[in-house]
Amino acid sequence: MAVAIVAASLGAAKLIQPWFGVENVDLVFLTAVVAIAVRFGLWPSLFASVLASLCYNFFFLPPIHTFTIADPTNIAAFFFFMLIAILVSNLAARGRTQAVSAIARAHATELLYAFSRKLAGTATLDDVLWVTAHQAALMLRVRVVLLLAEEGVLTVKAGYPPEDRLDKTDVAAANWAWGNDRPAGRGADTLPGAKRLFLPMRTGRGIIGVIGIDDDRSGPLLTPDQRRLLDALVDQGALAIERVLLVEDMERVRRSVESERLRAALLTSISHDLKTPLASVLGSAFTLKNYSPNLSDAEKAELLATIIEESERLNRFIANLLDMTKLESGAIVPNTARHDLSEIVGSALRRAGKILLQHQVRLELQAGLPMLELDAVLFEQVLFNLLDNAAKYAPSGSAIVLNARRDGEMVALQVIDEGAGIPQAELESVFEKFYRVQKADHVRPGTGLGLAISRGFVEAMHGTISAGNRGDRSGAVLTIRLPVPAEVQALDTAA
Amino acid sequence: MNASAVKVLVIEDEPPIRKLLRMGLSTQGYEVIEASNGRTALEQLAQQPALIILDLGLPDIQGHELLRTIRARNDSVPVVVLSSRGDEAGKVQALDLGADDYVTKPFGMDELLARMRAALRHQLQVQGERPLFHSGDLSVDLVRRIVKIGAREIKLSPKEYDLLRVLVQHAGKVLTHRFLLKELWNELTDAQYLRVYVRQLRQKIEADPERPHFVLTETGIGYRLRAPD
Repeated sequence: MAVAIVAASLGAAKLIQPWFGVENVDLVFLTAVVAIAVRFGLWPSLFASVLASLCYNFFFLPPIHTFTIADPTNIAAFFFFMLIAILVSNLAARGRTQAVSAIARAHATELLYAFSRKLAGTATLDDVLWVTAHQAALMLRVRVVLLLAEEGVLTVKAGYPPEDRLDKTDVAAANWAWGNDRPAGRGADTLPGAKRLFLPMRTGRGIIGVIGIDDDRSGPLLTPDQRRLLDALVDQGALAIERVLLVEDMERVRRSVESERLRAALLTSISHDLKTPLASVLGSAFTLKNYSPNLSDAEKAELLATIIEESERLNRFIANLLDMTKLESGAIVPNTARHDLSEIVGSALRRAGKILLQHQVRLELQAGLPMLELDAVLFEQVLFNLLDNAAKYAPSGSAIVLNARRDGEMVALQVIDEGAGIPQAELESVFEKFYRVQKADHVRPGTGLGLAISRGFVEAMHGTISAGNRGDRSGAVLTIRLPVPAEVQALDTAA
Repeated sequence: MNASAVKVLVIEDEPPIRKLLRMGLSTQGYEVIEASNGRTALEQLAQQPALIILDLGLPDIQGHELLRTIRARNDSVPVVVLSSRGDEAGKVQALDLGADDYVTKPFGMDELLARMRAALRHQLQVQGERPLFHSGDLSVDLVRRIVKIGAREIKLSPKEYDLLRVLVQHAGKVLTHRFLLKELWNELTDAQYLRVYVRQLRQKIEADPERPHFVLTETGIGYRLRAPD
């Protein structure tokens, strides 16, 4: 190419010679040399310089068509031409090298920047690992595996292309790199027989993983430039991995704090709700045993009634704890069948009979409600819990309404009381475990489990339950919505 | 009731419950014999108890297994099982294996005594069927097929009458869905039909069908007709 350009400039020089004179044709050759230097770099331009000098001498400096120079002035001109050509090609080539590497650096920086942006957008460890592996593979045209320590064992967590197995030597090299925080494997000082090169990935806080790379080419895996690029990639990847791990750690801590809080609430609840009735039972029994002669018949009867009532309360509490445990361990599998809502309402009312003695229960069940897909035992428990709650929070003598009606593709069942209602801000939290609406100075007796269990059961039957307040007066409204089975709906539209 | 002769075998591994049952039943004139495990229980069968109270959670043998063995040796002695809450499947299984009734721990003595009376009465009934049934203002004449609430005669469809008849024949006893389906439909159908007929029957004989007095739902198990007081 350089020869062709020099030849072309020779032609051009011949053309302009008649007009500009021999002393100016050297500029044409210099232009060609500079062009070659800029386009092709140092060595081609040096070669072109020499070639151009020879052409200049041969074709233009008298005696023409010989390499001899007659005029001493022309000798000087020839040497200056050659010197300038070499200098210019040097400068131009250096400029070119700088420009080329500047472009390459700009490109790499751009890719690294895009990479860091991509990393910032990832939230899970898997994503971070995948993005890192993918980016390294793409930029360096190599295969990549990423290894992290999992329970003390270095394990492949990601690869591009996907890879999850390493041979023995590779495992040894990876572990060496991990243990010594230095490169190992192909091209490194340690275990150079391994298929891959393993580099530690570290952050300011220490080593967090190992990256392994290989390709199908023989010879050195990476040029120094590529190695620097890889280092930059690995640094960014390591930081991102650390960030995600820290977030996961924080989440774990938050969860354990949360479960600690729940455990504390559970302990408070258990110690209060178990001990209070137990204390009444024990105290009553002791009194009957030791002071029987001093007690009137009415007093004895009262103590006996206390023993029975408090034991029943204890029994309900333990039943709730068992239900909650079953719910949380996933042991609740609804055994559903078509049921008549009013039948379950009836049996729940019978079970809750004793609790509801102080209240007027009114049933407002719409006629002709469709049969619903329910687990009768679970649903009876839900209704029992809602009635129990209403009885607890509404003053004695007040009315509790059980209302059920068809509402499009759902049946809505409401338990409506005449108590103080639920503070607007607590309408959702009443369904949390161990939550109780605080009333001025005291907490109502109860486990704070009834509504949490109810929600769990209702949702297991594909329904929803929500809390609200009455519009017409004070009082809570608990609404259960259950889907009408699809075939029943189809029958409706057919009719 | 001349209960002094009635011998009750209590099969229960928990000493406090055994003590409670011994005391409670003795005050009612029952003679109590006890077994704390399945092996002793089978030996005690030789004493020919008139009724057995069986705890389903024994240490040495599965309660249902023991029930099966007892039924194999004596298919007429009434058995009332003690079971825990939430174990509806276990109760149904026991009833299908031939237990007469169940009470759920913790239970009140009056509840247990009522179940025992119903089971014993049912046994007498089977031996000599009584054609007339009275409970509250409900009366059923099984011979003439007449059902009355007070003086008012109630018209029932044949299926509704069959359902009531089966309930009356086992008054006070819990009847599983499966038992009722077998009696009424030869088991060829879904429990859903049973629920429909129960609802219809309630609408005809109950004062408040939504809070039934006679036909009681045993959720997850079956139905029970309230026994005469």
